[in-house]
Amino acid sequence: MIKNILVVLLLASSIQIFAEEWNVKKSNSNMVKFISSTTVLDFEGVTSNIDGYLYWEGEKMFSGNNELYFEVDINSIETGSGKRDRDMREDVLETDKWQTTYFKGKIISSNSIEKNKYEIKAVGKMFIHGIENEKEIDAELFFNEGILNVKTNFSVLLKDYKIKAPSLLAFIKVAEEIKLNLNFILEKSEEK
Amino acid sequence: MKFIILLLCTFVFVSLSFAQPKWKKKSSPIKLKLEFFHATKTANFPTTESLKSGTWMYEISHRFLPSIKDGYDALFGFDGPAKIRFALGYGINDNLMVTLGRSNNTDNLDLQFKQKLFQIDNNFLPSVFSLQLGAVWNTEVPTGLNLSRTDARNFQFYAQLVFNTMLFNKKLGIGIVPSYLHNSFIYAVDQQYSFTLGTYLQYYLNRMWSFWLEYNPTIAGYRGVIRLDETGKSFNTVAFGTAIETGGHIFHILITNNARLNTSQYLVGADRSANDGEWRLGFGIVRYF
Repeated sequence: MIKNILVVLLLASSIQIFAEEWNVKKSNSNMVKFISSTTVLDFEGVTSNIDGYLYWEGEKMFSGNNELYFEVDINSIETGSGKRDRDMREDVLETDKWQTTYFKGKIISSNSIEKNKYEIKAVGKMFIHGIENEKEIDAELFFNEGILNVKTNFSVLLKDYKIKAPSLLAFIKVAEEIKLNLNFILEKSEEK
Repeated sequence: MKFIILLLCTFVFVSLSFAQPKWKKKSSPIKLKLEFFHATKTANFPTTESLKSGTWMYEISHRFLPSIKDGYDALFGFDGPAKIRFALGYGINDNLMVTLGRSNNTDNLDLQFKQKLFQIDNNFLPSVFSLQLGAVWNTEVPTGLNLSRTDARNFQFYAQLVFNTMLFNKKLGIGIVPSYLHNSFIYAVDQQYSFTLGTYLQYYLNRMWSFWLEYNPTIAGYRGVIRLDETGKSFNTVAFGTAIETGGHIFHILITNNARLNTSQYLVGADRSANDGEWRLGFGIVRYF
């Protein structure tokens, strides 16, 4: 019996699944920006407070099992007006209940467009304001000197997340469609 | 057989333990500072709220001099004349703001700094304390008075300690503002002071609508007139009204016995008695950029 266990442990120690994990590198240059654009008034909110990871198994990038998760602390978003920030937190996004927004999913296709540069499509769940919806997001990944740069642009509709568009000025409301621009970096996780 | 099961179990266990992300959140959720009232000031008093660093605030306020009881002929006061205040505020940092205001009452220029001091974050009585300091220059020289515009007597100074709390699920805001004014009556031979205990309540029905009440009794010191063309004395101030909040603006629509707007004049007291039915209409608009 002891001999069997030793054999099993020896075999187990030799099992190695090739996997890579990249975590968001905390940096002020990370950017998560939303833009509300109406015919008379545009405004945007920005934060660098994004966290999360990209993980895949297999030697070929994104071909096997993979997973990604990115989250943003909404309390860190600044629109350039303290009052608007507070209204957004307290009345619109209700951050006392749901302080974090996230996207969790997987890459379903990737295409190398040039050396170290990929276009990917991810599907998963987008969570905002207590509501989780299916979402498909296109992004561009660029590996450069140990850093992975992620860029993506997409939109969300406020009504999909049960968010009531607040007024900016009398009779002028925030746009129903909010554009999101993200540009952030990841570094390879050293944790084993 | 046992050996094969052991081998498979071990393989699955080892695979699972390797095959998962090791990511851990790098920082705890951001904890915000306490925020109670929706504006940096009520109709007449400072709140503990401050402007965000680098942002601006603009204010315009009117207090109509005819009484509401003057009726339709004076359009209940709206025909004027009115005391007017304009002010511009700026957030030096998230806890310190500066405001420069001017009233047409003795052409009173008012420079004030408001510093957030500290907060007590608990469920029983969450509280914030701020300190407002002001320096005032009355730039009007009454006709016939041999007084330089820059004479030291034209300057006033004040200090206000501001306490705010919010109760009943962020519905009822309470403010207490003990205030000290130096040189209350700029034409006095001997310098005067006034000490008042401002109080206010504001009940928020929703984000847009709220109702409020202010009372500013003079506890000690001067309670006379503030201009040479006034007679009599000043009275404890009462003001009440509604606040409407929309799109970055806050409108205060009010009824009061005090037409004085700038702090160094307001703190001396009301120019009419609340008991005589001499209520006047007024409004204030604050816009945050």
